[in-house]
Amino acid sequence: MIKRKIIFFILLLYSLFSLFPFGWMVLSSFKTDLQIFISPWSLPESFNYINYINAWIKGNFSRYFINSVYITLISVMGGVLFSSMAGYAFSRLRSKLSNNLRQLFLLGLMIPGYVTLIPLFIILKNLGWYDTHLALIIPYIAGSMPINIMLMYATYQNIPQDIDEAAIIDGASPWRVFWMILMPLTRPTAITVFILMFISVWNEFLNVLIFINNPALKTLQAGLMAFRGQYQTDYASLFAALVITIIPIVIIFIVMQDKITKGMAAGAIKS
Amino acid sequence: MNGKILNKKWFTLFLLPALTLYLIFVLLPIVWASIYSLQDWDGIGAMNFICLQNYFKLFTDDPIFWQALVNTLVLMGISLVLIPAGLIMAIWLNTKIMLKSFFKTVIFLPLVMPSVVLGILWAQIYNPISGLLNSALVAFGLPHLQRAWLGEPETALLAILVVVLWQSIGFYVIVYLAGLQNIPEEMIEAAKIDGATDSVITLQIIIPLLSNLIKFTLIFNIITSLKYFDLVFIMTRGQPDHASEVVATHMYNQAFDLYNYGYASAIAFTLFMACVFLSFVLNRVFRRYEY
Amino acid sequence: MRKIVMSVCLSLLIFSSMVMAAPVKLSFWHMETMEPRKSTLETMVNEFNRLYPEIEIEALGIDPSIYMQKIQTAMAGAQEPDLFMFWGGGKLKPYVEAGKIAKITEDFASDHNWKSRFLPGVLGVYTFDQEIYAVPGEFQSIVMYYNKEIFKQAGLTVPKTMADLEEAIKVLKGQQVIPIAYPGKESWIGEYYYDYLTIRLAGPELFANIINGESNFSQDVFIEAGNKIVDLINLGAFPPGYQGVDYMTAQTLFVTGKAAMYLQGSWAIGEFMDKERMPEGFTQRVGLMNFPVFAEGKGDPTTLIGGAGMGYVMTEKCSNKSAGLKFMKWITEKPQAIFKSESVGFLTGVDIKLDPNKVSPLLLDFSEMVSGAARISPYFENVFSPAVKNAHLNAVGKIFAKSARPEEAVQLINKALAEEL
Repeated sequence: MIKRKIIFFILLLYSLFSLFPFGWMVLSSFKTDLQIFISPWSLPESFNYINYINAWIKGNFSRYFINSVYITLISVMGGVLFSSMAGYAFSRLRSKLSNNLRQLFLLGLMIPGYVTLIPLFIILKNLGWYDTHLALIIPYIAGSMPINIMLMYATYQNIPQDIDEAAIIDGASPWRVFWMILMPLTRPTAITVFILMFISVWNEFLNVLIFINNPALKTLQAGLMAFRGQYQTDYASLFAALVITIIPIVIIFIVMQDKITKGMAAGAIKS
Repeated sequence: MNGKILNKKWFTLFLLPALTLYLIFVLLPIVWASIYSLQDWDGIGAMNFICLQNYFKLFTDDPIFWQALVNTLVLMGISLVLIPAGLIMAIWLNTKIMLKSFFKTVIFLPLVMPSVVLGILWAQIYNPISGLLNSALVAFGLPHLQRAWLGEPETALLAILVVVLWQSIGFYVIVYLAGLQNIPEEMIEAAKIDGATDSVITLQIIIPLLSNLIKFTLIFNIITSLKYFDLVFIMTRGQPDHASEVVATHMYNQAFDLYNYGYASAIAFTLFMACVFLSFVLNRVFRRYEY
Repeated sequence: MRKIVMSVCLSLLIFSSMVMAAPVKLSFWHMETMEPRKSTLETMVNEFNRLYPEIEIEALGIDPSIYMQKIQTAMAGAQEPDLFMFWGGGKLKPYVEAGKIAKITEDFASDHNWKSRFLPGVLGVYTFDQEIYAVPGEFQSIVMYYNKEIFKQAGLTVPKTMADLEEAIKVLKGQQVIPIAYPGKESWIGEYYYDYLTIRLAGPELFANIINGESNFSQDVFIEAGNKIVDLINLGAFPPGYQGVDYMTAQTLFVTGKAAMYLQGSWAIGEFMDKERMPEGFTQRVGLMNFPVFAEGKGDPTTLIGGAGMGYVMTEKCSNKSAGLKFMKWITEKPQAIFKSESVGFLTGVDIKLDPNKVSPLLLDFSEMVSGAARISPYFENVFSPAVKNAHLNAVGKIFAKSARPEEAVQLINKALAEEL
C-alpha cells in the first residue's frame, strides 16, 4: 500500500534526524576535546577507547553502576506496584472522594523542583535518611505517583468491571482479583510505567548530589561530576561516560518494548 | 455495578502506600514551600514574615516575570502539538510496517538521554561557528540564513523549543502505543470491513477509547510545559537579555543568584496555583465532552 | 584497696588514651572534582592528615553545577560541614550575616606568621565589618591573553591605548583572524570588558562615590564605556555570531590560533597548562598584555581587576575550631602555596617566590603583572550586592546585544541601586 510506504518514509526521515545528535555524541566520544571543537563533524581519527577507560575509572563507575541499578530497580518496582494498586482503587470505587483524591495526585506535577528541595531535605534529615539510599528511593517512588497513577487509572478504566464481578462471584477477594487477574491484564501499561520511571530515576541527579555525600552510595549521574570543572568541561570523557550511562536504558527499552506491543489475549477484554 | 467493586476498607488499603508516601514526600514540601513564599528570606539566615508582599511585588514590580510568562505560554502553546503528533505516530507504529522496533527505539531515544546531554549536543548543533545547522545552511547555499541561534533574542526561545519537542515526543508515542494495545484488533478489522476510512476509524473508535488517556496527557502536557526548566537552563539560562527566560528559570535566578528565596517560592507557588486553576478548568471542559 | 585504685587508674588510662587516640574528624566540602585540581587538593589533605594524626579532615568533592545549592540546603537543614571552600564578597555575605561562619579575626591577628604570609589586601573580600571570615585558596585576575605568533605575523605590537587596539583589530580582520575571542553567551565575561573600560576611563575613585550615595551609574564614564563596546562590536572585534559563542568554543578559537586575543580569568593559565588537551607548544605562543588605556582616561594601565577567589571557610557549627584553624593555617603555608602554584597554575595570595623551572611561563608573567599592578580593583560583585550585580549583568548584556543604548541600560543598574537604599 502506498500509504504504508509514505508512513515508512516519513518515520525513516524522522529517525535519521533523531539519531544524528546521538550518533554525533558517540563519534565524539572517540575524539579528544580539541578535535571535538576543531572538526566536530568529522569521523574520529582512530577509534580510541581511552576516553571510555578514563570515564570508567575517573567516574568511579564500577561502584556507581551497581548503585544506579539497585536504586533504580527498587524505586521502579515500588512505583509500579503502588501506582497499580492506587489505579485499581480509584477505578473500582468511583465516588466524589475517590475522584478528588485522584486529582490530588496531579498536584505533585505542578511545582518546579528546586523550591521543594529544602523542605524535602529537612524531612529526610529528620527521618534519619540523609546520606542513605532511602533518601533517594522513597522520594522517587512518591514523586512518580502522579504520572504512574494516571496511566494505571486510565488503563483500569478500560477494563470492564464484569471481569471483577465474575471473579468475586467465584469467591475471590479483591486482592486476588487485583493480583491474579487485573495485573496481568494491565501489563502493557505497567511496562510503560516501568520504562518511563526507569529513565527518570536513572537520569536523576539533583537529589543524588544534594542528599548523598558518601561516595560509596552515589549513582552514575554523580560520577559525571568528575568531568565538569568550575569553568571548563572535559567533553571527550563526558561523552564517553554518557554513552556508558545510556546503554543500559536503551537495552532495557529494546527488550521491554516488544512486550508492550504484544497485545493481550483478545478474549479477556472483549466488550 | 459500575465503580462499586471495592468497599471503603479495600479502597483504603490499596490506596494507602501511594497516598502516604505522596503526602509526606510531595505534598508536605509543597505546603512548606508555600510558607516560604510568605517570608522575606535569603535561604540562609532568619526568616521574616511579610505575608503577601512577595506576591504584590511579583505582580506589580517584576517586568522579567511577565516576559518569562509570555515565553512560558508560547512554550505551552507549541508543546500542544505533541498530542496529535504523538497519537499519529503511535497509530503509525501500530500498523504493519517494517523496522517498527528501530523506529520506536529511535523516537524514544531523546527521552532516554539526560537533559544535560541534549543541551550540550544541541548547543553544538546551534554553535554559530562550528555548528551543524549553520554549516548545513552554507552547504545548501543559504549562508545568509546563518544565525547565532541561541544567542539572538529572536531565535533563542524557538531554538530551545525544537529540542524540547524532540525530547518529549517519545513520551507521548509510548503512552499512546500502550493505550492502543488495549483496543482489540477485531474492532478495527470489523470497522474496516464495514468500509470505514482511516480517519473515521481514528476519530470515532480510537480517540473515544483513548479518551481517558488523552485527557490525562493533555493536562500533563500543559502542566509540565508551564514548569519547564531543564533545557532552557542548560542551553541559555534565559539569556540573551531574558529573551528565552521562562518562569522556572526566573525562579531559579531569584532563589540562587539573588538570594531571594522567599520571593522565588512565591513565583513557584504562583505557577502552582495557575496549574491548579488550569487543570480545574480543563476537567470542567472534559466533563462536558465525556464519552 | 590497692587493687581498686590500680584498676581505676588502669581504666582511666585506657579510657583517656582511647579518647586521645580518636582523631577529631572535620568535614571539608569543596568543588575540585576535575583533574588536576582534584588530585592537588587530595594530596594536600592527605599530607595534613599524616602530619596531624590527631585531626582527620574528611574531604568531599561536590559537583560544581550545584555546589551553591548543596551548601545552602545543608545549612537550611543544619547539616553544614565544618569547613568548606567558598567565594568571598557578595556571595559569602549572607552566610556571614546569618551567623553561620566562624570569625578568625583574633587568631589571625595574634599569629604573626599567618598574617604576614599573605600579599597585602587579599583578605579584603573575606572581611565584613572589620572581622575576617576566611583565608584565600586562590588569587585570580582578569587578563588579556594574546597570541604572540599572530601578532608577529601581522606586524603588530602590543596595543597600549584603545586607539592602538582598534588599529590592531582592523589589521587582524584584514588577515582573516578573529581579533578577540569573546564568548557572548557568558554574559559575565562581557561584564569584565565593561568594568575594565570604566576603570581605564575613571581611575580608582570610580565606585567610591557611588557607594557613599553621591552619584550613580548615569555618570559619563559608564555611558562612554558602553559606547566603546558598541564601537568594538561595529569594528568586528568579536567572532561572528558572538552572541551564541560559549566559553569552550571561544577558548578553542584562541587556543587553535583562530583568534588573536582573549580576555579571560587567570584561571585559564591552569587550563593552558594541560598538555594533553592543548596543542603543541601552546604556552610558548601566548603572552599577557595590559588592558589598553584611553588616551584621555585617568586609569593606570597596570591596574588589574581581580581578587581572592575561593577561600577556606569554617562554620560556626564546627565543634573543634582550633583543629579547623590548624587546617586553615597549614593549607595556606608557603610550601603548600608553592605546590598549588606548580600543580594547577594558580596564584594563591600567599607571598611566595615561583621557581621558573617548575611553573608555567604564563604564571610567571601573571605573577609579575600582579606585583607590578598599581592597584587591584575588586570584582563588581564584591563591591555591590547581588541585586545590583544582577542588574549590571543584565545591563551589560543589553549593551552587547545592542538591544538598549548605554544610557538606557545603566538605568537598570540605577534602579537596583535605588532599591537598596
